[in-house]
Amino acid sequence: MKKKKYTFTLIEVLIAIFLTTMACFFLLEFEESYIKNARESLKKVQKERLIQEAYVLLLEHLYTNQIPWKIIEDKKSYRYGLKEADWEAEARFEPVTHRVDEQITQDLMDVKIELTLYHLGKEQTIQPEIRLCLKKEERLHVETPQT
Amino acid sequence: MSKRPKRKAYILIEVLVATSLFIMLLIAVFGTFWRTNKTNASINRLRVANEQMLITQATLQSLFSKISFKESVGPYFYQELDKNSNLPSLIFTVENIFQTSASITSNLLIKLYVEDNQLVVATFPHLKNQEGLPTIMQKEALLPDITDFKAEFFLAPESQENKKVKALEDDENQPKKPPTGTWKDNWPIEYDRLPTLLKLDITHAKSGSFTLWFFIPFSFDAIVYDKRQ
Repeated sequence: MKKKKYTFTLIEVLIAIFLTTMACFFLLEFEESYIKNARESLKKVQKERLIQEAYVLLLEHLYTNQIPWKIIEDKKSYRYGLKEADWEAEARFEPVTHRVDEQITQDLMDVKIELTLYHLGKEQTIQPEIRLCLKKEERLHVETPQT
Repeated sequence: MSKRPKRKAYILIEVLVATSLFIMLLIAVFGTFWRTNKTNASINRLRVANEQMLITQATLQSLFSKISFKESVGPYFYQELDKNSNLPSLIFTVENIFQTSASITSNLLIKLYVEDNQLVVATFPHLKNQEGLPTIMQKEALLPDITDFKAEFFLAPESQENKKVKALEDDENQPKKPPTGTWKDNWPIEYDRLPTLLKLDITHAKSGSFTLWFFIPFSFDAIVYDKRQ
C-alpha cells in the first residue's frame, strides 16, 4: 500500500516562521539586558570620575563666595551643575563646632560637607564627608564711608 | 477512465506572501540586532574612554598631591608651549618618595605634554646647579589619540592676614602676581607659586572632549568670606 505523502500547508509554514521569529526576539532580551549592564557600568565609571569634578567645583564656589554664608550656617544644601550634561551635585553643610583655641571664635567655622551626585535628577552616589575650615574677615577692598 | 490524483501545490501568490512576510520579519529581527550592537559598541567605547580618563585623573592627582614647592632646590610649577606639538605642557617638581639614588635630590622634575598624539608624563632628576638638560628617567604614555590639550588654572583669593604677611616681605623679591578668583589659561614661570585648582581639557580623537579636575593640596589657602555678608 502506497503511503500518502504529507505536505505542509501555508498556515503551518507561517506559524513555524512566526515561532522562529519570536525565539529571535527572546534572544534580543539577553542583548537588551547586556546593554543595560554596560550602561550601568559606564555610569559607575562616570560617577567615580565626576565626584572629583564636583569637589573641585565646590571649592571654586566656596573660594569665590558663590555659596552664601547663610546656606552654610543654616545647614542647608547647595545644588550645582557639572560640566558633563545631565549631571548635578549637591553639597549638604553641617557646621561642626567653633574653634575654641582661637580668639576670633565667631569667625572660624569647621564644616562637614556631604556631596551627592545626581544624574537626570536621580540620586546616584554619596561621597564620604569632607571637612573644611571657613573663615570670616573684614575685606579691605570694601570702601568705608568717609567722615 | 482513471482520474489522476490532484496534487495540492502552493500558488504563486501564496509563496510571494510567505516570502515577503519572512523577509519583513528578518529585517525587523536583524535591524534590532544591528541597532543593539551599535548602541552596545558606542557605550563600550565611551566606557573605555571614561576608564582611561579616570585612571589618568587618579595618576595625575597622585602626582599633584606630591608637588613640592619649598626648599632652595628651584621648585617649579609653570606652563609653556611644547615646541614639537605646539600644545601647552606643564612642568612641575614633585617629592621623590623613592630616592633610588643618592645623587638625585629629594625632588623630581615632571613634564606633562602631548607627544605623537599621546598624553605623556616624563620624569627627570632635578639636580641642583645642573648644566644643560637632565636625562629622562621615565616616560609614561597616559592617553592615546589626543588631538587637543589645554590647561586652566585657578588661584584662590588671599585672606587679608596672608596679604599683610606678604606685604611685610621685601617688595623687590615679590614675584609677578597672578589674578585670583578666576580661571586663567596661562601660568608662566614668573608667577612663582602654585595654583589652587587646575583643570585639563583633553580632546580624544574617538570619544570627544573630557575635562579632568584637580586640586593642589599644598596651595590651599583659607576659604574666606566677607564679614559684612
